[in-house]
Amino acid sequence: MTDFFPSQIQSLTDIVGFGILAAVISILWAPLLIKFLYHFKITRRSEYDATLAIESRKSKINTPVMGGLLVIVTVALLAFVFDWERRFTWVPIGVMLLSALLGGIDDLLNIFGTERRSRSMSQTMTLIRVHRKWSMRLWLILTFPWTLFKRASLWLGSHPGKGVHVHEKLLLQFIAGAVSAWWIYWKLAENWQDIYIPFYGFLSIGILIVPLITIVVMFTANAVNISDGMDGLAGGMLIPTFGSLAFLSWVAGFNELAILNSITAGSLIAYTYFNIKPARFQMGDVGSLGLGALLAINALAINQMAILPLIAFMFYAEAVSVLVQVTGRTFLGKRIFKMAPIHHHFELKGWSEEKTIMRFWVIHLGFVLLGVWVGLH
Amino acid sequence: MLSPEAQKTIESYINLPIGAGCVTPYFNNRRKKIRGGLRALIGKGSPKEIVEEAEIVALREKADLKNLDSVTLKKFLVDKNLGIDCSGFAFHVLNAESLAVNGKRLGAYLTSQKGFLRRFISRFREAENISVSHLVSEENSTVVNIQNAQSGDIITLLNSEYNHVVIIESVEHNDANTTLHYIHSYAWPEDGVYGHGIHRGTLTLSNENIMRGTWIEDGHVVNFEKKRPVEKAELRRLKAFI
Repeated sequence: MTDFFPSQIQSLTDIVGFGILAAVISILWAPLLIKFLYHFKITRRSEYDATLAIESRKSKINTPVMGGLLVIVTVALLAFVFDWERRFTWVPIGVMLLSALLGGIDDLLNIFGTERRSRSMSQTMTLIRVHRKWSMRLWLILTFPWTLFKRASLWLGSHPGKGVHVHEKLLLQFIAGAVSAWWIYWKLAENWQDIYIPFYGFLSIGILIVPLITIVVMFTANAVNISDGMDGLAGGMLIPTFGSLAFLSWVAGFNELAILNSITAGSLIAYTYFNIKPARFQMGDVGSLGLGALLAINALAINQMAILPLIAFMFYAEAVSVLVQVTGRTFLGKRIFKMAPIHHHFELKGWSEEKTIMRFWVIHLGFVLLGVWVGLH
Repeated sequence: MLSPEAQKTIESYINLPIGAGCVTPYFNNRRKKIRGGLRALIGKGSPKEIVEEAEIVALREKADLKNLDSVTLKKFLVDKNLGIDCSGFAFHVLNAESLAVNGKRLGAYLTSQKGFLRRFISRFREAENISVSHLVSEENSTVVNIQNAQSGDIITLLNSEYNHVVIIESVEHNDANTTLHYIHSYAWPEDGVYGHGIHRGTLTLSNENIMRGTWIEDGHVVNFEKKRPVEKAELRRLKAFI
């Protein structure tokens, strides 16, 4: 029967089919993953998570983390097994895996690591003056810019605890973003050297597109990471986002990317099923950073950077809420929100977790639809 | 008497609207030296900000503030470095007074800090950048005679290391003496670890020498010079209230 379908309909059938396949595979091995996470006690602890003190969130203690592996592993495996088109899929998968690796290390260090020391600027300055070994003094002077960067990153709210610190995360995310920029600008050739602006056309910003791509990948990965704070929130919002990317990729004729987005959305359906309150597992940084990077790079690969703020609306809103909070704290000495990211603000205002999540889903869905409409122009 | 708005601010500091309520403790950032922190955590917060911060800290510490009695609540605040210093308290009360009387914030009547960056920062963080030494500068306030004292005036006690400011709430004149009813945020040595905070008292003066007057708080005579010598004590009026 499919022989009678036009080729585009055939590709659409494939895209949806792979999405269903990914969902089924994920559903099948999810119980194994849950068992594995419990067995190795990869569960949420309360030492460094202030939000777990909120009465309604206490039930989350001892819930397995790193559930995002369900999506990351499924997507990576399917991409390698079916190997649709290396030119389009290997770099996004590579960047996703690199970001997921960073997130995974952070998750594991937060659970099994030991407290990491962070020397203050004044301590470093004192040591430069008084340390008895000249070699140590020289080392401290040479590494002073790094120390400065490290301390400055604490303004972004990094808890100098067990996990990967913000300055380390930023560096590794910068590498992931730079790889994405290299691939898009130099490997995908000339069509990707300009930004497509809906209703306007192509806008050339020259080589500046390279740092822009890097920043977009870093920001989006962090935005998804920040949004992963309630059961089902990030997963439920990522489904329509990747679904819309699959649709837009198909419309633009990038069938391989459409399949990649479709299997991600399919796998996320299975993930969200197990992540809905009370969650059987949580995404963890392994999933949120990996999927955030994949989201950005997949949007960039179909030249839809301009609609990212729409199709990733709530993720960006969550990230902006953190920036606003940090700015308010630093420049005004006040909290703008009761707690950031913004979903905790509403929770502290008395909204139930379910109400917050569902409202966020609905708002996000509305903006995704708007993003698709804009992206089609 | 101070305006109802300023009195309301004072009342909120005296009885923080949280759980059983308690007097706002004294906290000075000189020891902690927190930079760029929340106002409530550096001794410059309004009552609302202190309460909000206490609630957020309580969430982290798994403490139920609603069920704490006043004494335990005060201990909680002191242990978490939540409180107000003398100039922070003076700023919030006199800012409320200025808004009520003049319709403008207090900062509008005070000279800017020197340097573009300091001016820029101080515009956004007024409470943090208004110190006693800033209030006593001739551009911002003038010395007034005891006979002319009025509510909203301040008594500044200067020392090379440590300055202090006291707000006049009301004034009573009679033939022999002038009695100033004052309020301030202070930590007396006898307050111990948890007893400090906002104190009300009276200063009875028979002449212009402020330090020779009789300072009484909670029925006891108090002496600022017991803690450290006061090099200069003046009754001043801010330009905002002239």
